[in-house]
Amino acid sequence: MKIFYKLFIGFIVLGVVPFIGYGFFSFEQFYKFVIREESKVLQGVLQEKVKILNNFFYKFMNNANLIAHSPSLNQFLSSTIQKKTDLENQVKPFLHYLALESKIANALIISKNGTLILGTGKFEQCQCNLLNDQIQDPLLLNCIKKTFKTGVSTISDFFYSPLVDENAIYVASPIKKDKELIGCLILQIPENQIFDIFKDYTLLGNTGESLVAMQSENKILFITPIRHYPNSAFNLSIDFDSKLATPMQQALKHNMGHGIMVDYRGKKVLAAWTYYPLMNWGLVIKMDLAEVLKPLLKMSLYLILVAFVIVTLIIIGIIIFSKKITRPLKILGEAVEQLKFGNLDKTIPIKSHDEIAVLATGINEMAAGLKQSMTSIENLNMEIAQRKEAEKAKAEFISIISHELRTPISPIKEGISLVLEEKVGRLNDEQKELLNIADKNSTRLHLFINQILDFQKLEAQKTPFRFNQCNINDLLNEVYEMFKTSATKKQIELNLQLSKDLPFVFCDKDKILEVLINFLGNAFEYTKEGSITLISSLKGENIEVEIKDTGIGIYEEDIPKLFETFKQLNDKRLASRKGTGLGLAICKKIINFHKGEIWVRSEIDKGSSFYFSLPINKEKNT
Amino acid sequence: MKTILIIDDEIDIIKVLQYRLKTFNYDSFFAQDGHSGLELLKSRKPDLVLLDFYLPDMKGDELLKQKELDQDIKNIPVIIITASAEVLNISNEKNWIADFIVKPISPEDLKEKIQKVIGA
Repeated sequence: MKIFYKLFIGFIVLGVVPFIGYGFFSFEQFYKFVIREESKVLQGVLQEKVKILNNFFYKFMNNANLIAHSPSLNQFLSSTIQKKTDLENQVKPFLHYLALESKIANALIISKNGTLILGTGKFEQCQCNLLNDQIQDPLLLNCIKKTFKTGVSTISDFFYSPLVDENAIYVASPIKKDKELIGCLILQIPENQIFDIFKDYTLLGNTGESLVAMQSENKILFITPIRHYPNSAFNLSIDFDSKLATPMQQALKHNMGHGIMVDYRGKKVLAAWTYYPLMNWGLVIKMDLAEVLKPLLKMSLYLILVAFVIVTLIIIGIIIFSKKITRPLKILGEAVEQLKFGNLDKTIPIKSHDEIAVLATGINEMAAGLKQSMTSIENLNMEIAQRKEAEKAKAEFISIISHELRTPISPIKEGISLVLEEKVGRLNDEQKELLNIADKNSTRLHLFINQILDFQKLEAQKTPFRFNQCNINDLLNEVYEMFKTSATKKQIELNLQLSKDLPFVFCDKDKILEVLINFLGNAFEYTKEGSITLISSLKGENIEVEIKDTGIGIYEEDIPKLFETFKQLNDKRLASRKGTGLGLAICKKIINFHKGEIWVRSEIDKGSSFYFSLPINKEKNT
Repeated sequence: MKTILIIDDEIDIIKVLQYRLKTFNYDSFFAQDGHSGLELLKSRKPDLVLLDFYLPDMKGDELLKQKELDQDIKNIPVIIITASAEVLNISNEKNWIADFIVKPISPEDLKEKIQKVIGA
């Protein structure tokens, strides 16, 4: 991956991710805060409603009690019929006044047997006994009965009252004379007064509602009009076990609390709820969650916008910063690429003083160094080429000279041979001796020229090699037979120590024989007495041949020179040796051509061992 | 008859030289290494030495040095025989050498140089 992307991702992880993380964390905190604060508001509103309700009901009950205990009413109830008319004229306007002042729908006074004595509104013209079972108004009946039974003020449920043909709450207060119940004062609280309490949506925004409901059998019956459902009073009912109106379910289960719930419409709302024991009502103040969270969402949008701008700026910053870091690297990369293609003249401009600059300086210096090296290599190559050319010329020269030398040698040799063989006349001893000297030396010259040519060919890799599978022991036996007679003549012991069952080697038999003959020739030349041993053995994956003698040995300093051409050895003992100085060099070439090794171990005056190894031919042996 | 000592490690060269010197009417004897050559110089005091510069036991200049130190043989002239002309530079300055002969030896050259040094 490119360093730019690495940096980019690194900075994003380091910079943007924590920023976004912090954003989410803040959002959550803010969300909790909004819910908490709004819950407090809803709870406050709920408490306020409860307070208002309490005041409202106690005001009515107090009024009822006050009126019920008024002496005039007492007198009115206990007086005779004749006097009643007078009294009626006094009490009736009072009741009317009361109804008007206290916004009571109706007020009525009944005797202890239930006879309606005095009433306002719908009851004004009514001549009836309210305790009579024929009166089909259980709400009013129950209220009166309860008051008579307990002797204290009673408040009815909020329900439909057939007598007034509307939903009503009755407050009944006993009228007593000397602690004896003589009648009852009943005040009817009209539904719209209750409704008004809950129509106030102050602090409840656009979706907030105050709900009042009671349990009717297995249903939740809403008893006030609701903002979103103006006809809900006594019309809207929901199954108690349903998944709707959950805050109201809690309230009617006598619980108090607040939280996020699902309302009667199935919408998510933030609600506060409580049970209102006086009326067995459940009260719920709630607000749509969507509205509660609206400022939060608005703010979130704003925050997201700001975050988006900031993140964009950060990303642009990161890109610029990353580019700033990677651009010099890219330049370096391109420069190195140029170097790779051999353009060593290009230098990297250095504009800063940082690590990159150090690197760039390094690369520039390296390029300069490379250029220098390249120049010296070129020079060297040129020199090598020149030398090769010279070597080649030398080889050709030697080759030509040798060939040219060979030609005159033939007639010289042949001429000497003819005279020596007395084909052209008899010779005396002196003549024979001189001709023998001439013959011997011309042969020597011939051999020498041949060796030079051999070596030259080997070096130029022009010698043909005929590789065959062969047993090295056969070759050793062959040279053994060759040198047996001269060994006997020189009184030197010639031994064979051959390992049995040696694997085959792949070699040019004639060339290896040449090496063996050379080794043995040397051994015989430098061994005056003792033995010469031909040894073969298997050493790992090679066959090793050793020609061991008990001759004069070789000085250690001379050993490295042995296989080189025309090297003068310091050994004074060898001064009379008239070798060509090429024999061992030729041997080395031959063995190396076989991928083998050639070497010597020697101890002065004790003898030498000449070795060569040849790799065994795996394919042919398996 | 004047006598010439040949010091050379190659017997073939010695033999051929001896035949040739005989034809020039010189008597010759030989040694095949430096030490025996010095011995013969002292014991037989020849009129001239033909010296091969490269010997198995010592180089020609070493032999010359030893000869120079010995008053008995100091004045016996020496002609160097060598295959490589470069040797000529080695001892030229010191007046120890009478002349040089480069291999292969030509009979005329040999005769002329010997006669110049010791006469016929």
